[in-house]
Amino acid sequence: MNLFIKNLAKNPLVRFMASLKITVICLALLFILTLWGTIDQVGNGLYAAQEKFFFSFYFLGFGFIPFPGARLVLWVFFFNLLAVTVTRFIHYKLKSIGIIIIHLGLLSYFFAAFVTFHATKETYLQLLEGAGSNLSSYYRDWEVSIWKGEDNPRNVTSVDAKLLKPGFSLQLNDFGLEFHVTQFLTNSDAYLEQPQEGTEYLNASGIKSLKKISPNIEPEKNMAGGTFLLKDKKGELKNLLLFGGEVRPTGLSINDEIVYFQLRKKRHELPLTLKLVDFRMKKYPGTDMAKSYESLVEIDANGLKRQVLIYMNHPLRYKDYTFYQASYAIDKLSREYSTLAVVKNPGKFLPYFACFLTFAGLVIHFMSSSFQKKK
Amino acid sequence: MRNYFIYFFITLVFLISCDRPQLVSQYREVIIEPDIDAPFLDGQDPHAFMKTKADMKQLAKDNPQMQALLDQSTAKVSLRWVVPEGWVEEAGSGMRQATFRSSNPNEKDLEVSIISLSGAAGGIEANIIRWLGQINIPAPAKEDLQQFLDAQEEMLTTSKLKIKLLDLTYFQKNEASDVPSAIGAILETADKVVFVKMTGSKQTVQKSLNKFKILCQSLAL
Repeated sequence: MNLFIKNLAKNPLVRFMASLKITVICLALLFILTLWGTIDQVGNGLYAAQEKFFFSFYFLGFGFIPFPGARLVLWVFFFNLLAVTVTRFIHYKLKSIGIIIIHLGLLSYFFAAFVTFHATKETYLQLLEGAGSNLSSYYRDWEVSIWKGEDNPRNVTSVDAKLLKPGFSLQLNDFGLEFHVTQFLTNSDAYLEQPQEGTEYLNASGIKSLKKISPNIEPEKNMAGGTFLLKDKKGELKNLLLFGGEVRPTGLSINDEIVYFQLRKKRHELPLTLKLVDFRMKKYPGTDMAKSYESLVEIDANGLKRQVLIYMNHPLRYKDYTFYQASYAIDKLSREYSTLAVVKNPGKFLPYFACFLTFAGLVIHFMSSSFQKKK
Repeated sequence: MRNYFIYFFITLVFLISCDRPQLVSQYREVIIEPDIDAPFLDGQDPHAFMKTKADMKQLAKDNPQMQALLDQSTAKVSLRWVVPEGWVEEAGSGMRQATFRSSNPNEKDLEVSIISLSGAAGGIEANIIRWLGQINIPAPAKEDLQQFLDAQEEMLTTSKLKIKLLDLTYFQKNEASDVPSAIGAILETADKVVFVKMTGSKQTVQKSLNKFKILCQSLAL
């Protein structure tokens, strides 16, 4: 193992990656990206700025200058730190053990960030008092949900909106159906008016046409819409129109069965069913401002039911999931809705581990340094 | 140099292979419905999002399943009415049977609508609270609401049906004359509810009250 690490340390690419110049360049780029992204989000919104500056490998600055995104910079930074750990600390000595642990701690931060970025799912669950579900919704992503009949629970086939580009086709064998996308709009308005010489679409709400509008600065406010061509086993064609604002699904007779279609926020299946038993809110005296609010929920996990109170700083934790009390709504009939933020983070303990490792490395390093000086 | 390219290529493949979500998937959906029945709430009105002017007759062209879904929300009543003098009728759209505006240029903000819905449509109290919310008046206490209802006039239409007038300016006694206001009327039958609503500034709706009463009394089924 030691020989392998020694050979690795001699590798020209590893030696190149261990350069301090790369560290400095990466730190400088991260500074620029943070500053640029912060300024950009004022005009273009937080989500767009995150996507452009921090979640991308590269982007075009001012529309034409290629610039590395934070994702690429952090990857390079990670390899730089890894190479430094391999080349600089190859001759392990007891006196440098603290520094080595600190570097391993820093690498653990990168690993924690990687797991969090790729594995964390942030969704929400809005429930009316008395209602329950085993699905949470993504904030910005959409899907076409397809199911048969009126069963409850029902099996739903989901087609992610990322696939919904004009010309995309999908064979849905469970429904005996070919699903073709003819149009998909990220943000749209729905109209009952039939455009002249336009295709006549089937839609449960009577929508006849969609109009493209500019994406909202806050993507969660976008209202997606799309038109689709369906072909059943008999070769019969149906033109379907779906709009994200519809409450009801569109039910169509396909191969002598009723198949429902709905364009809605992408769903995430939870390992439990959660029912809102009661939502309670206290207001500041003499105002409409909420002082505190809490949700009494009944969770059903594999048939085991129990009631849990979720309130500020007291989320419900279940497996990798955390349910936070996020918001509430009261409709005109004074009915109360509770909104729970649902976060799935399989690596939620990794940052603590990285923090502990770095702290331990610092303690060991300072203790061994002071011990050596006394000697 | 060649090795550099190989390493670079391997790293690139590794990076690109990350983050591949499943784009067609299946899941099981459990639905627990609340134990209440109020089909027409803000945000749940099946037509609330539409920016449209449409003829409901066009919908009949659609397939029977779709029509059945629409029938659940839109009562097909053959309402008739008399347009008060000085008001202009516009074509209905969606659940709206008709819209009226004033021909008087000083009453440009005046809008009157007739909407018919099947079922209980949430009840009178719920709709009053909804309308009050639309003109920025907080929901009153139950006792105040009852007091308001008791003070409201009930009229008979030409079809001898009772129609309850709901003058929301009742809650705006101390407000300025230019605040948004509304006067409504609700006609309930065994299987449908007809809402007549006049919106505009407080001054305009108060001035137009008599015409509004004429319209309400002229309703015939």
